[in-house]
Amino acid sequence: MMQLQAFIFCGKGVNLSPLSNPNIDPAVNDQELNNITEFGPERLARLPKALLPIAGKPMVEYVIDWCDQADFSEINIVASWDEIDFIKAGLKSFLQLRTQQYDLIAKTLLSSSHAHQLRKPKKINFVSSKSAFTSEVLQTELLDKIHGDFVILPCDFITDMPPQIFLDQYQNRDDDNIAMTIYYKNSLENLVDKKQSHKKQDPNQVFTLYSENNHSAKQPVLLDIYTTEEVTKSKYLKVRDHLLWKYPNTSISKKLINSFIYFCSYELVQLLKQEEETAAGPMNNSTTNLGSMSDSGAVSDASSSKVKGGNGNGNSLNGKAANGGLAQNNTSLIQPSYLRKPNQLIKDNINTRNSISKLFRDLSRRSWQHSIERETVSIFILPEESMFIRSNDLNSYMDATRFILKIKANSSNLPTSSTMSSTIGADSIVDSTVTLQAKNSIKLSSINAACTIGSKCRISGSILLNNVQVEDECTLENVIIGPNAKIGKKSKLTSCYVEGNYVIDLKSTFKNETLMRAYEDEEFGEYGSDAIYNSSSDDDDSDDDSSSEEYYDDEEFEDDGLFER
Amino acid sequence: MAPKKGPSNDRDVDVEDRFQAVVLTDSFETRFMPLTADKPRCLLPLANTPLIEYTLEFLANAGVNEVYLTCSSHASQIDEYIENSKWNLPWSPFKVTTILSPEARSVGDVMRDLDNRGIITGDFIMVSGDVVTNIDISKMIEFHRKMHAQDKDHIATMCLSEATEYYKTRTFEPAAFILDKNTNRCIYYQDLPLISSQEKGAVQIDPELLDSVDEFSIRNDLIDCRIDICTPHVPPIFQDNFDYQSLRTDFVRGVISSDILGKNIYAYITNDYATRVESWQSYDTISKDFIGRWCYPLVLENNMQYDQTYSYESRHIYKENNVVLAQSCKIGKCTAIGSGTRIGEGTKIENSIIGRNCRISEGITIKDSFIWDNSVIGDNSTIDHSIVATGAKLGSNVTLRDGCIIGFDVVIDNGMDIPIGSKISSKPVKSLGSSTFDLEEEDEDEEVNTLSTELVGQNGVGYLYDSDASDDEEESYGIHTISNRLAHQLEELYMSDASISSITKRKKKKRTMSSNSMYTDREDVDSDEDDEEDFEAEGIATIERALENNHDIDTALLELNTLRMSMNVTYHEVRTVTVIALVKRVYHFISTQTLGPKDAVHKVFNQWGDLFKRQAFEPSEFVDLMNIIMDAVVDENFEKPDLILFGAFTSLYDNDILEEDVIYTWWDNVSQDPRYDGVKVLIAKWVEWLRTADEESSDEDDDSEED
Repeated sequence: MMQLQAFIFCGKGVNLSPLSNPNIDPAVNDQELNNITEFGPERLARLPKALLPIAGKPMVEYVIDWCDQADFSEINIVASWDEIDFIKAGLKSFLQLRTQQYDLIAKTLLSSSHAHQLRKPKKINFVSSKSAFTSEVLQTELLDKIHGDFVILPCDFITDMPPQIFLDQYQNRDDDNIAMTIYYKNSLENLVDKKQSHKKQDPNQVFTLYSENNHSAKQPVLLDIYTTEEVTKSKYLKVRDHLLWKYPNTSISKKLINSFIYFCSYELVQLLKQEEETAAGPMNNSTTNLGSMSDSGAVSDASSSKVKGGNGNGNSLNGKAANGGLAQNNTSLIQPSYLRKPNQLIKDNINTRNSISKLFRDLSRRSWQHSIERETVSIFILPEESMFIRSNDLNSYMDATRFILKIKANSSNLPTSSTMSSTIGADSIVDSTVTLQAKNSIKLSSINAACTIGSKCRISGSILLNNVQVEDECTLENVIIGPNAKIGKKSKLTSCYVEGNYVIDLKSTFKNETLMRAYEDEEFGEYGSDAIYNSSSDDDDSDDDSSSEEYYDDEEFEDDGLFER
Repeated sequence: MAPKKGPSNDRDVDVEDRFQAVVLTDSFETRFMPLTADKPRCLLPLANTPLIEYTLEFLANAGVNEVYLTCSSHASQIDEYIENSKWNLPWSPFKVTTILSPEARSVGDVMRDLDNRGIITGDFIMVSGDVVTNIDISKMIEFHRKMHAQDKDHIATMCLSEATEYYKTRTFEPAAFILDKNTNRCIYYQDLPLISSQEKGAVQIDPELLDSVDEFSIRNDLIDCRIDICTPHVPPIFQDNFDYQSLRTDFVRGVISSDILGKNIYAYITNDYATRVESWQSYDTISKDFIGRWCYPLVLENNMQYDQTYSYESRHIYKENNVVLAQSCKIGKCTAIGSGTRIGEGTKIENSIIGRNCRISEGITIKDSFIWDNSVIGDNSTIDHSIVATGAKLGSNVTLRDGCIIGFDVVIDNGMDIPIGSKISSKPVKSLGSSTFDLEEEDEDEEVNTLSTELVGQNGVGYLYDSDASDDEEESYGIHTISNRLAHQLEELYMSDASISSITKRKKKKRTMSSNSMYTDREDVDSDEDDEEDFEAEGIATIERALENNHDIDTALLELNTLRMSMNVTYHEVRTVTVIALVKRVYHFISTQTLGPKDAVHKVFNQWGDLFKRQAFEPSEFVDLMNIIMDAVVDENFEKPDLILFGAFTSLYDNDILEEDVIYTWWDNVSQDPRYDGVKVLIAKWVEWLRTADEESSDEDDDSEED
């Protein structure tokens, strides 16, 4: 069984403002950052994106759960240096629970005949990154940690597709696929009343070019991505003649959304290794080799011996010739490896001062731009029946929450419960630490820890984060309220987003508003300049966003000579 | 052919139910020169059967009631052929009518003519006269009806045949179709440069066209076989847009990208065999496919013509009755031989099609070639991958190398060795512009080439046809001429990385220093006259600045005038530089695709035409101005120079810069130099129109005065 390393990229969640991004709060920067160890994330006004709860559970925990199904060799949580500690602290109890659960299961299984199926939960490493771009994170900070094929995951997805399906798809890839991207079509379109529906044009819309390779045995491949912004800038959607000659039946979709899940082969690591590193010599390589050997342990030993026995030395020599000293690595990882033809890696100049989604766009472009064939990037489009959602903006965050709530409502046969004459719908999750006064009605909502809710409140389709105080006779409809916020008596909020620590006066009425504290305006710019993740726009590139957010810099794209302005 | 309905019955058919077909026999291309100088393309034999037969056979199977053949070049020949063919017999499945429109210069003209005649009553099939296909039209009609029911704006269905990535004919006329994935509605259409072309571009799709579609595909793997089912709305659209020339680039593109029309065109995609004989290469490929039975049930032994007697033998050998084969001759696979042909001892024939009554002597090797009727080939000749047209005579020991085309009645002396890719005709044929070729015109030109004795020998008769001769065309049509050879070509996707970047570099340079390049261009022309040349460069730069920065006209004029006086040049030079700059501007707009040709011309000339008011004063100067414009337009190598010139003149006329009288004087004295023929096409019509309008209005005036 091939084991992949998983890297969960925890982004800043720029599009989840005002909920995400704790460092924007000067209070956090000033005091808490210094003694972060004592600092509980519960008290933050804004949370790191990874910790934003979906139906009472931080979103990254869903991802870790998903990874646990997959049997990856290790799980790495990658986040920017100023958030990693929050995340670590926030996941502490979850991780404890994880080991406890394992212990429990281990205890019961020990005596049964299924003991061999017991899998120890994989180690979770926290990686703090200093680079401004996700590609750069990958290239400069992660490459040394990678010993074989690996997978990049976002911290914000929920899916009902088991990882096994992805893995199978990945294992069936063609020889020239250097990576597999996963795309989905928004399946929740009719689940919630969409705000986007009355928007004229979705600015995040992306033109995804791919070839289904109908007339050949090859897997579908990703060819290019253009954002609406790029298209409007150049006035046309331009599809190069080159591409059309190589892929005469190219499909373009405006519906596909990048999942930010990338299954990558080890060849990508070799491709991205910076020149000086490879020049630095065999020392480096040999250490990685050793690492991988020890890592994959007995399995790899068995496989490599099998290869030698079955196929003789000729092949392994070939592999070595083509791939240098690293061929050995491949044989230990891909099975049956003798069926795979190693790619001749040509090190083009690949821009890594960019987001990962752009890195893969460039890789996919590389597959048709050149006269000598380069590796391709395959595309796996999730079937429409499946569910996949990424909570990378407020809307989809809401959708994801409601999706989980509905599952809860369907799975538990609990009737609508009434405690202290409050009505709580079966489709709602109310934390046990919540204080509820009388005569409240709660529907399709998630109310997190330590909230206090007065009497005669009506809450529907809303998310209340930790420690929110709602006073009597409030009506909340389709709102998200940040931690520690206070909502005054008889207020009425519809379709609003309220930042943490915000205080709403008595009898206020808001509709379609985002309520934030005043520092926002002044501080935002400053934050942009002094933080390592430079300006707010580059933040996007930090992780989470991909297709669904903006792409910048056409410069890099025009530069390759092929694309003249 | 079962005697279903006589032509007399057809008249009883309800007008609404008639199923009509229009066959465009003329494609207005010169791909089959020099042979098409003598015979229209649709009468050239493919596998010993005139091309038109394949089209008519297809229409007969489609259940068409009326067929209209539109003929322009060699119309009389087509007319005569049809008159004597089986299609004119009383039991023909449909009524054939030939429509002669010798004036037509493009498919657009033909369509307008069709509309004027008011023949079309319902949905009709439009095919080009060179289609070879076995598609099942009923499925296409079904698709057409279904789409028509769904979408009331649907006006035409194109039949596109899916080719595999590596099929040859795909690469002849490359084009990208952008289709809606769900409905196959055509969203956009764009020609592509040939695969081997170094000119690399991109398909550019206006995002507005994509607003309503979520998923679409760009298809470069479709063969456009030019079988369209059209609604009766189609010909009037050509009438309304009288600048539409070609069926695809103008009509399809125009219709689908026009908001005003709001009409849609759908594509029917089929896996059947459907393709056009449109170049020597496709002639070659299709002949071989046909012999190799790829378009079954359309095969040679169907004997499409009433007197054919082909029978099929294994290894794809077809023979008619009365073939005389010598005992020791070898007939290899995939070969067809017409009746009355005699093949001598020791001759080897493989992969070839031999017509009727040919005399093929002894010891000859014929490979991959097409020998048409009545040709004579002398002993020990070698023919490799060539065409020998009807009535040609080859002496003994002649070698035809790869890709030779020996025209009608050419005589080649003994022992000649014809180099690769030669095209020889028995009469001198001048290659004309792409729009047309007319024998009458050629005779006028009187530009007699000398007999190419070095090719055909002392006793031979033949002139070398050089399609690349006219340099003017070479640049714009270069991509076509490359492909228009029978010879085997390895057309690989031209994309070495280095060359791409170098090309773009060159282009960039050109753009940034356009004034300089102008300078160098001119240098060759008049290198002696330094002053004038300086003025030219300076003047063009001045006007370009004005255009770029949107100066007002007075400022530009002032600058120009200062320049004129300081350099002491005449107004003629001022006009010249102005025109060159404006035309360059137009070219820039078109080449960057910011504007269509028409819009670009109108924009530039409407805005800046007033410049000429202060540069020309006498009628004679205006005539000079018109000549300058014509020169500049021709020099700039536009894709559609006539449209540009026409646009420029109408703009100036509409803005009262050009008077009618000036136009008439100019037209009456216009240069007859053939290099201007291309651009004058539309102008001729326009002047005519002006005159008639003039007459009418003056008539009216007269009338009113009389009253």
